[in-house]
Amino acid sequence: MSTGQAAGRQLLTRGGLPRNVFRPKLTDRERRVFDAAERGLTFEQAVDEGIDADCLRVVSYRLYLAGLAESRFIDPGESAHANRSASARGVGGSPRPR
Amino acid sequence: MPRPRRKPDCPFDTETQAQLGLYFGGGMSSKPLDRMLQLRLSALDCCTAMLGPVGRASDDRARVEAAPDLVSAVMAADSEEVRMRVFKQVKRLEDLGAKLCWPTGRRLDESELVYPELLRASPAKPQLLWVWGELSEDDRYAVAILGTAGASKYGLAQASRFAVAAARHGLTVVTGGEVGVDHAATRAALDAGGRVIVALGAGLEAHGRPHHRLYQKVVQSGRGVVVSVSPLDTGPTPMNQIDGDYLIAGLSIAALLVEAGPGSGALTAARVVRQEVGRHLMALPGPIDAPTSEGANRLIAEGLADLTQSTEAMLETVARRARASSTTRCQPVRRPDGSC
Repeated sequence: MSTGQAAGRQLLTRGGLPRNVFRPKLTDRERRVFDAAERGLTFEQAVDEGIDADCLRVVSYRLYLAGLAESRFIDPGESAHANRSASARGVGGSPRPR
Repeated sequence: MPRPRRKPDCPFDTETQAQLGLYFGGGMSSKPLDRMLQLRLSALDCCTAMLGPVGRASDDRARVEAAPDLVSAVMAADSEEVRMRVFKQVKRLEDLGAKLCWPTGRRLDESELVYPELLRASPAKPQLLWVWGELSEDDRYAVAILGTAGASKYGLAQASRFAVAAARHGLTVVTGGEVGVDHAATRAALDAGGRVIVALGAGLEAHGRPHHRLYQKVVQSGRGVVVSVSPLDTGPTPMNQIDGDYLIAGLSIAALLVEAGPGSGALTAARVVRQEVGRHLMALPGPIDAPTSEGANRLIAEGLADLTQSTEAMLETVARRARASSTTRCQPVRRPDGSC
């Protein structure tokens, strides 16, 4: 199961509970991110479908912070950049595959 | 704006004035305010009950009289000196466009500010908060970035990098408003479109021009707020610097120490975050021969701070902490088959 699918499934199951138990109220922005996650889209695919990258990053992280999603969309560009710049300074970054 | 609740026989017109009166009358201690809250009275009620004619509000009067420290604060608040101080403070608050905020859940009559949720849960929450700018509900997800004023190039670069990452993910960045790491993180977070809280121990107006310009930029951006635990003109002292550290810690889910020398104020702030307020602490490692990294390296070695080497690690740590607290609040019910 992809990262997006996992996030979507988690949201879906919680959203499906009876109203009086636990039902997260999602805004339109959150719903769009949720839908993208449910369909298993990657970060780039969701952006290609017209979801703003900033919105995707912030909303999926916010849902993740609030415990409404089990994972989040990670911008591969940003992640790679962060690791590159960290490695270039010799202070860390992801370990290389063996 | 709501109409002020003018009460006869009370030297103050509004709840804000009455609270400041009790604060100054009590020797700038929050004890009278604490006691007032315990009695479930407003500051105006206390002043009216004690300063009005005998027989009026006698129930309130009896309750206030049971708390000697509150009585002496009310009596001192009625003095010319305290009244002048209160009115001067209120005038300066209005000139600056700042407001007062307090943690009762009840709003001030002329203010719509709500006390920050994270700070309310802190063991050392201040009873009065001077707020310049607008607090937002989004500030409940905040990470503090701490570091020395005399930071190295490496420290400044990392402070900016981590502040940008936090801002781009919707986290509010909390800083101490000093030069060096604090300024770098504040500017970077604002430039990245994020929210910023500058938390001060000294008063909002008691800083030099470079600081004040940055604070203005924070407030005018509409995405930031400067908060203090001291009256507007209170200069920086070692004691209120510690108060500022408690404020930074209370406003944040977790804090990241970028650089700190052995005697740095940032190191003290980091220890307050971890050991006094009990919030999570992360630290960036630095070269073992760099004095500016000695404090951070030591905290990592002592196990007080998590070794943090990437922005992703910081984001994950903050999320883990936030999720832990939201899980305990939400308590999702499980179905008989174990699913949520």
